[in-house]
Formats: sequence, structure tokens, C-alpha cells
Amino acid sequence: MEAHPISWSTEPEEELFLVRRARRGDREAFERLYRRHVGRIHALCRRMTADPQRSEDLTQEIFIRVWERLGSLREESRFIPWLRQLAVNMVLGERRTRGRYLARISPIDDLSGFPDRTETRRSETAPDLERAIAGLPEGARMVFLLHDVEGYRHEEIARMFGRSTGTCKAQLHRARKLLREVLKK
Amino acid sequence: MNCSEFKNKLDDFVDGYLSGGDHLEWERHLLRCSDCREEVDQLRSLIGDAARLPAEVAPARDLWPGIAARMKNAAARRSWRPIFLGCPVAAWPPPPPFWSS
Repeated sequence: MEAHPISWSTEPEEELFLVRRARRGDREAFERLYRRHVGRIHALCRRMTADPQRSEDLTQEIFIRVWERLGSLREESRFIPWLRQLAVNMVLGERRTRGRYLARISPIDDLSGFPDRTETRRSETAPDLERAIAGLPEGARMVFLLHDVEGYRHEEIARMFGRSTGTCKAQLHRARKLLREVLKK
Repeated sequence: MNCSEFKNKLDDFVDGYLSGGDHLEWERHLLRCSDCREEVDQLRSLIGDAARLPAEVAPARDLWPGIAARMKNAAARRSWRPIFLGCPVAAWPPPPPFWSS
């Protein structure tokens, strides 16, 4: 799970230093790690949930879990992929506990569920796309984000959801189709 | 190969999941079909825009105080566990016993 379109730029040596310190219980080092990565983790949560409050709660829970589990990180140099995978797993876990499974998401072929422009806070660079993604059915949105934004492959996404690659491909196709339709308007 | 077959494979084609032979076959179809070319261009544009979304989105509030408080509570709870049960380094040294204050 290495390649991903959005890169996590960071200075590896300083990162490693902070990870080592944090693993030994240094809270200041952990806070610096948090400050480095909170924007990235929150972006993931914000887009996956399309819910500002849930995304902030989840971001907070993710960093608490990271603190608790840093000791289980086998390779300190692989902190970023470990963090990213932990975050994705927690978002999906939270979704499961809310009783929303991918297969239960009913296909949506009309676009009436898309929020009005004024309902979603718009980012500076891709406001329409952000808004359109937020309006996708949940399952399609998550697969789209994992595949096209985070760079996971279908086999990996299928494993995360416990579904077939065919289901993931269908969700991705649906997401892209809906997005193209809504962005054409 | 016709447009309907192509559209069924559109995502696989653009994502590079097709085998070399199939991919070349669809490339040839694209040379002949402007409708499918347009579909491919639109899809590639969408995928490109998605990959260029801002990598970071800051939360509306600073989450650190809440995280720090939870870390402190967790450490205080764990520091009272016997060390052979896996007392974490993060929780060491334990707070002074309540009778010493």
C-alpha cells in the first residue's frame, strides 16, 4: 500500500527522531508528530465521513490510538504508512459500528441527495469536486477516496471492506459516473 | 469492439488494469471513436483533479488539548497496573501515591 496520489511530504530524519522519542513516552515529540500530520489525517476523515463533527472526533480518536499503539509499530521508518492505515481502519471501523455496511448502501442514480452549494464548506482549490464528493452515497464515496485520492488498489480496498473486488469496482464506477454528471452541470 | 463494450471497461482502461493486449485493442478503438475519447478525457480529468485535492484540511478547532488530556488520563490509569502486566514506558514514572501528598 505504498503508492498514493497525495504525497505525505516530510523530513524523514526528523520524523524518525520524533517517532523514537514518542515511542519512549515523550509527549512533546508526540505533539509535534500530531501537528505534522493532523491536517492530513483530518482531510482523510473529513472526506470519508463528509461530516465535520464526526471527522474531528475521529481525528482525535485516531491520535489517541496512535499514542497507545506506537509501541506496536515494528519499523519506525514506516510510521507514515502505519499511521495512514490505522486512520483508514478506524474510519471504516467507526462506520461499521454505525451499522453502515458497504453492501447495504442502496445505489443512488439520481443526484437529489447532493447538498446545496451553501451547505458544504468549500475549499479554495477544488470546491466543486469537494462538494460533489461529499454528496456521494457513502460506500461509493469511500471507495472513490481510497482509490482515486489515497491511491489504494481494488484488492486492498476489497480486503478492508471484506467485499469482492467486483463490488469495489462497481462502487468506483458509480462514484465517478455521479461525479462527472454533477460536475458537468 | 464497440462503444458499449468500451464503456463497460472504461474504468479498467483508464486505471491501467487491462492486460497489454486488451489495452492496445481499446487504444485502437479510441483512435476511431471521438465519443469514447471524450469519455476517457473526462474521466482522466476527474481522476487528476481528485489526486490534486488539498492534502491537508485543518480541523476547525485545535484537537490537541483534548488528546493531551486523554493521554494523561490513560497514563494515570495504566501507571497503577503491575509492571508484569505490561506497564508502558509512557506511563513511567507513576504518579506519587495519594498518601504522599
